[in-house]
Amino acid sequence: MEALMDLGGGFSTALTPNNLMMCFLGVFLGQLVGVLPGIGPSAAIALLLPLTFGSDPTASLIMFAGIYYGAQYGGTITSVLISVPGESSTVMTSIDGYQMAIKGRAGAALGIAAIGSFIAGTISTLGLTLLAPPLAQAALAFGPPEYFALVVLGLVALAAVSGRSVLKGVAAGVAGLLLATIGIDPQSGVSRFDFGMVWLLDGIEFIVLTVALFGVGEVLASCTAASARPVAEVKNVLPTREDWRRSRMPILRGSVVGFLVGVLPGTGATIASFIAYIMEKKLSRHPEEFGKGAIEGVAGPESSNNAAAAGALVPMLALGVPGSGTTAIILGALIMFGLRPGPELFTQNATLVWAVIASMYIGNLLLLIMNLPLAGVFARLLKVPYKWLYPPILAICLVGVFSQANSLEDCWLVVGFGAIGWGMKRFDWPAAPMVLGLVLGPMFESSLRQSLTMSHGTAFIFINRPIAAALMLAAVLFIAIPVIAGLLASRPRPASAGEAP
Amino acid sequence: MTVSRRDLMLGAAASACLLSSGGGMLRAANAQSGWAPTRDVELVIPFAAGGGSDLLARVVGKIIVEEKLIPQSLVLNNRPGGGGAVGIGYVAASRRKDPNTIILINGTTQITPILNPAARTLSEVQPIMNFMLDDFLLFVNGDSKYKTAQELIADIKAKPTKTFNFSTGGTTDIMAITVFSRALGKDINPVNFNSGGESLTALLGGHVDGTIGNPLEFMGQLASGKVRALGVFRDTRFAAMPDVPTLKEVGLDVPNFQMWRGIAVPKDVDPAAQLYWQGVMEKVAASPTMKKYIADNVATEAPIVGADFVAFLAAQEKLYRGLLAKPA
Repeated sequence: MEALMDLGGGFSTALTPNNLMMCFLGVFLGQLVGVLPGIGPSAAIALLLPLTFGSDPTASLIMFAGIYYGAQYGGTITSVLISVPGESSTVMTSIDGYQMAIKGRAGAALGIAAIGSFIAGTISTLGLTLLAPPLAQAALAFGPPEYFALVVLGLVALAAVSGRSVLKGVAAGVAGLLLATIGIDPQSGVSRFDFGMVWLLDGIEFIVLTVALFGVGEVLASCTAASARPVAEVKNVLPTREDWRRSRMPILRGSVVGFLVGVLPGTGATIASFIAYIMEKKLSRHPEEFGKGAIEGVAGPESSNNAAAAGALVPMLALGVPGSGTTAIILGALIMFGLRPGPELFTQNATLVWAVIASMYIGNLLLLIMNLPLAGVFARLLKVPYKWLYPPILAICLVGVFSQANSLEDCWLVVGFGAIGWGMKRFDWPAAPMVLGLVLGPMFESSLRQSLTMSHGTAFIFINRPIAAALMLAAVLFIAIPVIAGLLASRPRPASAGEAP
Repeated sequence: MTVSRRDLMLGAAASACLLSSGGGMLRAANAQSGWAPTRDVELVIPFAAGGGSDLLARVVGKIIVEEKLIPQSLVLNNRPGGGGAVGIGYVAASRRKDPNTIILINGTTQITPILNPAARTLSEVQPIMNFMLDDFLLFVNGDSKYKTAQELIADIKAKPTKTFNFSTGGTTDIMAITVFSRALGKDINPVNFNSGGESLTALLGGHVDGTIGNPLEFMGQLASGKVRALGVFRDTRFAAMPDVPTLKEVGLDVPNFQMWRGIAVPKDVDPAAQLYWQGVMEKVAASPTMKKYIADNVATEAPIVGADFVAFLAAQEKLYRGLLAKPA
């Protein structure tokens, strides 16, 4: 109960007018950068860092944390309304969220996302309050082989559930991994597949592919569809009792899974969100609704990505090691303010740590208050017929991508991948595995190469270590079970066995 | 790209000459620099956020902003990847001659092209000023059975080559491991991570047997006993860690190996602008914030400006090439 006393002290610091103001500013800015596809929370914090020099570290860190978890709320809005994920962690939301919006249920999708995010944010902050030091220690058991196995499991499982065909899902995931090899090799610095073009040295940004496949691809696919999409009748601006009943468990499961995945250093909200989506689809009694506007497909990933944001602060605060790209920058900020991140931060800078934790309870509440009315407002935007929305959506896609690196080449990539995205939609290839293959490619490659270096080249390292072995086994089962089930189903009688491929 | 490849082929020696003559002219010019930034200044950091060089860049930024050393605002831009090659490449390709861009450079950006001839060399930027020298320490996990460097060294020598895995957080760490391996006569197996933070995480998790790194990222862990420092790669002990012996003391003949960190501007920037940035960076180096930062991180102040910095870099290049047995 010592933690609760410390937390009380934290609240008294976080509730001072100045800190409350910074908390609000943080979550507001986070919400904003989450909505914009080009700029993410890490870029926003890096940009703001110089402005906070010389100010109070507690207030600044409250603001940075607010930007971090606030962005997880904001990324949802464009995912649901126009199928353009604002952050990599909201890619999964855009699948069912956008389908809900088309059916006039954008308000319910945004509402449940806000409520789920609030519950998840609160549950995981509670986890951070009570369990940070032991959990952070346990997370260290994850080394390169475990991360590799986790990425493999995630990609395989996603490929297995995201389309009608496992093969297409796997192929899309592998295509994403291949795209990720473009640019400078993170291990040795050799440039690969740049075709002599300097702008490809940085590789293909995730945002380019996401905006193209989801945003542009969706617009093109809708334009070529035979019947014009009817104006969405905006009904049930807020989630109904039925929505709530269906979302309750996904929110709770998403919170727990998201928090645990977030705690692992190096993984973050993206992996958490798609693990939650896979889990909900697997556990659902009506998996056929996924991809067509299942509210569980919004509630699970949205809760999970928020929980992961709080989870990522666990290794940062308890051990002084970065839990994600964004916390690496916050860690840098701690050092800038003259603090020494490490296991002693909790004891030596207790006031600051507990004030930041307390501010997260407050920030999540602020975000809920901000987002529930906004859900209705945004949902009404869709009273405008989609045919009028398409040109501005294309403009947002291009401007968002351009703003990120001021690169016209990236805009051409959007055009090219947009055409591919349209083709993928047309022939029923899932886009999510490709995007996640690209996002996870560097981690996939680095952890594979690190593991094989550790093991002097033998792949047994993935079997000898219990956690890695369990994850790998799960990945094999994800592929094997549908295949075996398919084989069994395709030969009801021994006589016909020879015909089925 | 064709231009840059031709530049690369000029070779390190030739470009070092060009650089030093350029620096000499600057010193002769010595007049009040008639230039000031004309738009937002971009500070390019060719490393991911959170590492030692990123932090130094942020301290430089903090001092520039707090002490209002420039009339424009400052934007920090992380361009990580390829051991600094991406960031250097970005400045060389997209910011050539732009006096409103400055870039952080360090030993890694110098070593990367030695290891990988395709990477951009420091001859593609104009060095302005060095701030500090970082030392390297040998660390093991706090729970490790090795209490002293002698115990670890004896065990490494007793086992087959490459039995021991060490995590690294960047090119200079790899190089320090090379230095260590050569002195031992037994190869260490480097497991490469993208930052000092990830390298530290692997050590804390017990996934590697040890690591060699800069004190900066390990100080918090050292204080709590989560990691243990066994030896330092320099000629004298640290004042801050009087109990940690030098590797020479424990009988290992390692050269004095340190990492420099400084600031450059793009190549072919107007001499007046170079002079301007030298002035700004000298003020940064003299600031109490910088002095405190360097002291806090158990590093050594080493303000080296303009032509002297270029000459220093040429000497460092020779040392690194010698260590890697790859003559220029």
